[in-house]
Amino acid sequence: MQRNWLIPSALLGLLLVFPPIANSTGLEFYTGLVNKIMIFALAASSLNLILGYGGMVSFGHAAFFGIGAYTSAILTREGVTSAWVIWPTAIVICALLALLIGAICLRTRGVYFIMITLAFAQMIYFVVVSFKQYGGEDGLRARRPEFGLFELDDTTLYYLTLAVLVGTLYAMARLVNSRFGRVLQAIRENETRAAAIGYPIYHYQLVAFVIAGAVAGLAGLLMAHYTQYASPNLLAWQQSGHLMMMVILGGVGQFWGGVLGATVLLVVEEILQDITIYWQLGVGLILLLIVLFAPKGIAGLFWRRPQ
Amino acid sequence: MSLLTLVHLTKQFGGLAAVNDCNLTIEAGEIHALIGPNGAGKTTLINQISGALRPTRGQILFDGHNITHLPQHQRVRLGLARTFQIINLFKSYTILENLELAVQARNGSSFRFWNPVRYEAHLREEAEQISELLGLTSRNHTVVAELSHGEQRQLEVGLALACKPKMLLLDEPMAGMGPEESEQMVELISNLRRSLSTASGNSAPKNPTLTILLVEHDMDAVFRLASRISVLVYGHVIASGLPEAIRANPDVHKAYLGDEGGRQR
Amino acid sequence: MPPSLFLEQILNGIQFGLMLFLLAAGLTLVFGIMDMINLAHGSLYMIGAYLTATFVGLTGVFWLGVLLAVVGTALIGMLLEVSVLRQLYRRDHLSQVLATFALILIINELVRIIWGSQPLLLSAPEDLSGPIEILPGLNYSAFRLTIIGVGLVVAAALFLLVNYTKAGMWLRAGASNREMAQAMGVPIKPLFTLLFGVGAALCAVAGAFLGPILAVQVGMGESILILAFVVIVIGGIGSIKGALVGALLVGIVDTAGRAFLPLLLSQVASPEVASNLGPALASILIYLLMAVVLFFKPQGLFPART
Repeated sequence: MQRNWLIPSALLGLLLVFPPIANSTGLEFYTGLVNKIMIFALAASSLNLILGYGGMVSFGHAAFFGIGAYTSAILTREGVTSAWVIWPTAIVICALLALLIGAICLRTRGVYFIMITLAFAQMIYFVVVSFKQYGGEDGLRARRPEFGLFELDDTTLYYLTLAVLVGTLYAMARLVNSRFGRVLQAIRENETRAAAIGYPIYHYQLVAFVIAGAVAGLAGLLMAHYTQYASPNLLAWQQSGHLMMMVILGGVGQFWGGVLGATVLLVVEEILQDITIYWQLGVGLILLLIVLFAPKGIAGLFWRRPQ
Repeated sequence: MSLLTLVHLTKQFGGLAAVNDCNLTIEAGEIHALIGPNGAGKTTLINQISGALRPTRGQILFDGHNITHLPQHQRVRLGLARTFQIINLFKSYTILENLELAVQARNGSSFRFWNPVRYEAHLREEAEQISELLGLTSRNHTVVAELSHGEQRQLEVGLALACKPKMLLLDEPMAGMGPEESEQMVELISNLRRSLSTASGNSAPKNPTLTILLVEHDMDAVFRLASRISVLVYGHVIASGLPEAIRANPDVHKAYLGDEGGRQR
Repeated sequence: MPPSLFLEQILNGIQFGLMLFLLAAGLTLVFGIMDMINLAHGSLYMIGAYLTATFVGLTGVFWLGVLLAVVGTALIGMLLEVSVLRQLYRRDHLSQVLATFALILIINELVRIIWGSQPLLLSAPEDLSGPIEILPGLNYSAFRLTIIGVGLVVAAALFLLVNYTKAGMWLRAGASNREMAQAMGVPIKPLFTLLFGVGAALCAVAGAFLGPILAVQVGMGESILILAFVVIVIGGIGSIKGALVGALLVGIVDTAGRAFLPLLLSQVASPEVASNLGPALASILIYLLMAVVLFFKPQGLFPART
């Protein structure tokens, strides 16, 4: 167990000292990139919980990501400035939304589940985009809220994001090894068997779905703070695909799958974007190759069985 | 005292009635065998009793409760556990991991999110006891996919036992087994009711009257184990009673055992 | 509301629905027989539209351009099947979703590289660009009428193919129970490549005819792809009849909804509410339709699977 935490601890140390080092060597831009990576690592990890550990292929996860961002943007637009109000509100709204959507979608299986999660995400997208006073298709500017104790400048936001990511990953580690986590994975492994030994499948999946939705909303919040903007792209179904890409790249059902996938994908995107305007071609090719030849993702290359 | 009663139970798939006005009573403490030709609807019946399928018409009464519309997991809680005709285990988990999951389901709430479950030693202990009962202890840490067919079938029974049931629904537990393995299974089933009350330790209630509904094609096993037999043909129970009576029943002969009078297997 | 306006929207809905059917038919068969989710189906539609615009531009004759585009797209579809898609049949749905999602990205960029980022111009043929008086007082676009005609002809041809030919019988067997069909000697592999080719050809027809009405641009496949999936979920996976009924339903509900819902809302609510809520509700109408259908018939209206 000690050995498994050596590398992540080292990385954490690196992340902690990154901003001051970057700033002093003229690489401030990369602090922003790392911040973005951490946000997506959070969102992708939340998807990994239901998709990787729970076996629920949700094609609508971007909905929660986007609603988290939009909640912050709309609240600040309406004059609410305290983060102590905005954060709980956004998380609760995303949790309730996930409860509603999950309650309906989880009555379906297989491709119907994929389609109906996609449908709900689309509905949310169209509803949000139709509100012209909240930016419509152009998106909405989102002022950073105030915590009262500190200013939310770029550096503080970086450390706040890091803290949230570390805290959430720790909670997730405990979750997947808990009774609940074991049952969730058993359901993914063999649903009819799990039902036959007495587990109420629907309830377990719904709880996981709500947790994942709330965490995705939290990531969306941080995204809105980082970019100071809530974009409809965050809600688009392509964003759901983007998050799924990260999970499979990193390793479906592997603990570090979300983090690894987000890091690799965003870094690759950054590099490709500097090379060509047709960078999505590169991303598509990489994804295709991974799915065809390395379906267990990067983590799958190092660990044989999900932890 | 009857533990399970089926009243006018019917299951229709489109125009086909797989189970057709089935009436059956299982007494507490007995091993009740259900036999019938292929396609008679036996597995469909088991599926309805366990809750995997909803009946089209009719009622199911178990231990004083009307469980007709109760979801599967609640039926398990009431004490009804089943095995699957086609082996249905957690293939990539070991024997112990399979059993622990079943034990955990009957040991308090699993909506616990913080403490590592591997620290709960009592779950493992109970799982080990069941494995010992099955004679599988030496294979405890073997992944199911690597087990022999017979061992997998035994684990099927083991998982059902771990649910601390009042009644076991065994759906063709000897399917695909050779003579040696079948013999082991027959012994296991007949020992079940005795051993269960002594092996469970203080965590499980004594259960000297475990009831078993056994669906089987293996006539040898059926006549050795059953205290009563019912015969299912085209989804309907055509005869029900003591083994000798069934053996002698001309309708049963015609429909199932063959006209030569008691052909085995 | 004048009845002619109402009728016109219904006709528009039928027209759109028939084109959706062309997309949905190929999609539902692939899904029904091989249990494969193919997100790249919308890209074939886009390729069809782009090829049509190109060939029409080269030859100057609309119908020739369409024909060439259909053949070209069919070939591309078959090539895709043999190279990439075939590897996905045995895989789980997540892998299929992601692999075909990757194809969307790749194809989008390739189209952008070849044709540029600006939308292409594709016009309806000259002799069909005017209105026709189909009923006294009701004028309707000749081109849209042609689309309806083409749609009905293709639908009829598809019904004949599926119900009265050997290949069609094999397809229906495969849709109902693939393993059994294979065990009985149906040549699934080449049948499949052919199926993709036909599906791609249908997409191309839809792209060719919708191109002049919507726009020929990168990404046009994605929005219609989602509609096509809604259609096959409503209609029942694996069923051509379901695809037709579902497509007509979706086409009419979507078109009529967009046209009438804002109007209806403005009768009962304030202008701001109507102008916001109207388009939003219209957009989500078909998803609500899908949810309602699934609630009563979880396998769709005419499921082919046993």
